[in-house]
Amino acid sequence: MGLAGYLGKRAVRLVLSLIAVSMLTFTLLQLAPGNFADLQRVNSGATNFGGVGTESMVGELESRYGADVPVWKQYLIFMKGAVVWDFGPSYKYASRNVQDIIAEAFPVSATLALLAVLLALLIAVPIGVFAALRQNTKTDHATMFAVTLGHALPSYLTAAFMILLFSATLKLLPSGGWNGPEDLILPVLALSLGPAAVLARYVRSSMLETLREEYVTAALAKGGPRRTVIIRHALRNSLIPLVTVAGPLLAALMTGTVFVEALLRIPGLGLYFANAAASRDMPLLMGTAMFFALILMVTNLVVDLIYGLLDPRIRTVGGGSHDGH
Amino acid sequence: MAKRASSVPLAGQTRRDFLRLSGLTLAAIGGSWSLTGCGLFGDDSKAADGQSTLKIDYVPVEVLDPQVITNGMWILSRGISEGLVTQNEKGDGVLPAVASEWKVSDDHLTYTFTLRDNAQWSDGKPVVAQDFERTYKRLFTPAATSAGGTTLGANSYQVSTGIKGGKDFLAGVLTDWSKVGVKATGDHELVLTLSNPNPDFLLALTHPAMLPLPMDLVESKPKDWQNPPNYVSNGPYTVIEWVQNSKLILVPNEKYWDRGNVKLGRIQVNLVEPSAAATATVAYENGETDLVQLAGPDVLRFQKDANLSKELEQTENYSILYLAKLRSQHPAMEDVRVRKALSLALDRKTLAGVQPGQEPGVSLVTSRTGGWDESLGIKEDVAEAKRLLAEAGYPNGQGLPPVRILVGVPDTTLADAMVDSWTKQLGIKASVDHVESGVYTERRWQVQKGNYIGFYYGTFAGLPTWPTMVGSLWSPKNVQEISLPSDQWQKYQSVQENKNLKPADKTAQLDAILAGHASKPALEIGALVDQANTEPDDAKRMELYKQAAKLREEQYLYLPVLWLSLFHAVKPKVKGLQLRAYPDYFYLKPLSVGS
Repeated sequence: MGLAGYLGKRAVRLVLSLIAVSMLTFTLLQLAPGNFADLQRVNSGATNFGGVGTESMVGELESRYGADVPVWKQYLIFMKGAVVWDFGPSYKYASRNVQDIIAEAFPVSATLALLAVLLALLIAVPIGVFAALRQNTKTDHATMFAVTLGHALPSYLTAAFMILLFSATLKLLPSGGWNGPEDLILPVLALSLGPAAVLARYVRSSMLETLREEYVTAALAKGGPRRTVIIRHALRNSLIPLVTVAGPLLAALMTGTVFVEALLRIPGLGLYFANAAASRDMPLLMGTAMFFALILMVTNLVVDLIYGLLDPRIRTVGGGSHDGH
Repeated sequence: MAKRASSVPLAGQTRRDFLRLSGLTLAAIGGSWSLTGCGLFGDDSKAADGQSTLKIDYVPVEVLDPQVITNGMWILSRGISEGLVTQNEKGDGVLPAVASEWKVSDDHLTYTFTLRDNAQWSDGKPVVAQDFERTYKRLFTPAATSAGGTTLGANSYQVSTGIKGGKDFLAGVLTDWSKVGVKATGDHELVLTLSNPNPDFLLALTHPAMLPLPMDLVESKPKDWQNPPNYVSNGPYTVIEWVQNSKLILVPNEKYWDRGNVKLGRIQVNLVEPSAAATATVAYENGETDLVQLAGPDVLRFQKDANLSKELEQTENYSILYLAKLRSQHPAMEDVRVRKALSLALDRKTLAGVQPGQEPGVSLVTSRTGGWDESLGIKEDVAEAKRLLAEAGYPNGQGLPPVRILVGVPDTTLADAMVDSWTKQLGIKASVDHVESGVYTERRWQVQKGNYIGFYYGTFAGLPTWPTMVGSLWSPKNVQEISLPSDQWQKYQSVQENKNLKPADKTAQLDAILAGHASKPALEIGALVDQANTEPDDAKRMELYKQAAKLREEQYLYLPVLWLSLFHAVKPKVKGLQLRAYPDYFYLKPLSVGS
């Protein structure tokens, strides 16, 4: 079996997983209390005008999938559209199709994610190397302490802190919004610190491992300049494991970050996903959940392929035993 | 192994080549992203911040259809669309808008509106009476507010306007549109006929659901009419850009009949998630927005600050916080003495001190309502409350299950304070049941099991008029429903949910349950309001409404708790702001920015 077979196998798994995700999401949504129309009434200005006529609203909403269509049939109708990338209109954002919402909001989240992961790498690699070269010294411990702290801080707290610092106190940056490149700074910073901390720890341990390898000792013994040996031999090889971490990290950020997006008023995908769940917007929730699952699985697949390419030893029989986690 | 490896594409290349290639790919992606950067941030992001630009904060707008119940409808009535009339500065009367004048028949049933000749949509087409008739037909047609195939149903609000046949047409009982009291009798004449006199009718026309829609566009582009550049409106401003969850950009409607009095060049409406409200004042103090609504803690901070306090605007007595009785298997709350005791021991004065701008809410009818007097108010009395509890069989709360307050909003501060009042003053057990809003919407209509008793927590705001305060909010029908015994209530709900019943049969069956099983006073309230609605004499009418309101208070099915204020922070450069105690808060038309 060659690459084609491997890819075929993965594709089948991907489709099966997507079906499982869709069924699970749909079932959970049906089990959740409340429905879209009632929630809409309570959470909007509507409550200001009394509660007459609720029944007709709920009735009409259900008719979107045909009058009195049983729940299982709603699922099938939705999935029939999903196959051709047509999730239908959202309940909440009624003038838009779910696939259009994804097309509009995903680039926003993806841009932030890409920039955040790039920045995280730029921060993590030097810190990791720095700490590894000074293993078990006070500097190493201090750095790793800071890194652990950075890891433990949730991104929304970082974002809130940065708003206070850069907007409220220094008045250097807008506190949120999505009007121009300056609005990228705070979210990218807030989103990158946590991943940077994770990556720095990986770089450090991977670097330590590589430094103990015989070829590094050999290179040093040959009298190669320490700097060159570390950068060209040790660093390059110790960065390979990062691929497995950075990939899923990127995927996780690309699918949107609810709190940071809400706090910094960014029209990304995470906010839609959260709102869809909170308002019981079936098509939007199903569409975004399946899209997230797809992104995660495709990223994992890409990571596996890249990994196999970077390190031929990983390519085991069948090529699929490694899952990239 | 080696053979397998060679089957991977790119395998002939070295890793260095691969890295180089992937670097190039990344750069290419990055490049194309930065080239489309303008699109990423919206089309209009580079517009200059001129003197006549205003930035205001608002909650996210999901749809721009005034007939669908969302927050979007309240931004439309601020001055994107314009109805027949608009509210006056105080919000207690109306001014001409699309209609330049109107005549009311002697029986107060027929309203004949004359539309101005020069009213135009932003695409230059004239605004004619047929636009209103077609818009209202859409409003009254079940499942007609189709936006991209999703039918959300029209706002039930139109029922309270009392337009003849409207309610029946919406319920499907009446299918002949010509029998509904909406007629365009010429390009510039619209006749609206009511089934009963409604002194609030003109004010009711200022509700977003009554705004006209460009029906040609709505029908030809059912999916896309709301999205700029398709969007067309007839108000002072129109929408040229809409980035969901981010912003709405408004510019003057150049075709507006009163264009000369529209002063701003551009309005940026920031769409801010309520969950981000905690940082909303940062944006305000950082100059990113000129007008923002404030939450409690921020109000306190603004009040204490010498400069910021000058920018604080209060809309007093905007909404009413109330508790509504939950249906339970346990009989305790069916006893009016228990409910009354709980109301008399709320200690509203202390509750009012918990957050800024609050007043004890002594009646469901706000004191802003013309003709309101103290006789309507609840007089708190802890000794009397204790006596009532004992009389009902729960001396000092003994034997009374814990009283719960079901809350579905994030903030429980006030509910916690109420629990505190009851435990301190009556010595009973009480607690807040804080649930997710979906759980709230479902549970508040259920019959609570076991010994779960209590109230659900809600707020209402509405026109400060008697028909609204007595006829529409906590309406006679609501009072009758909530007064039903648990078993009848369950029967009532099953009829509501029965999809096999014809509309007319369903209505008849529901009415029969109410007539047969609602409490006597609840039915009497209905009769009084019906009588008031048809009473032509102003003084007599108000007396009837008052009687109904008083009777409603005495049932203690709904407990008024607090009258709440709204607070906005407004930059001094913003001129012409007229805050009204109505859910759209203010109109955009009179606004301008100075230096």
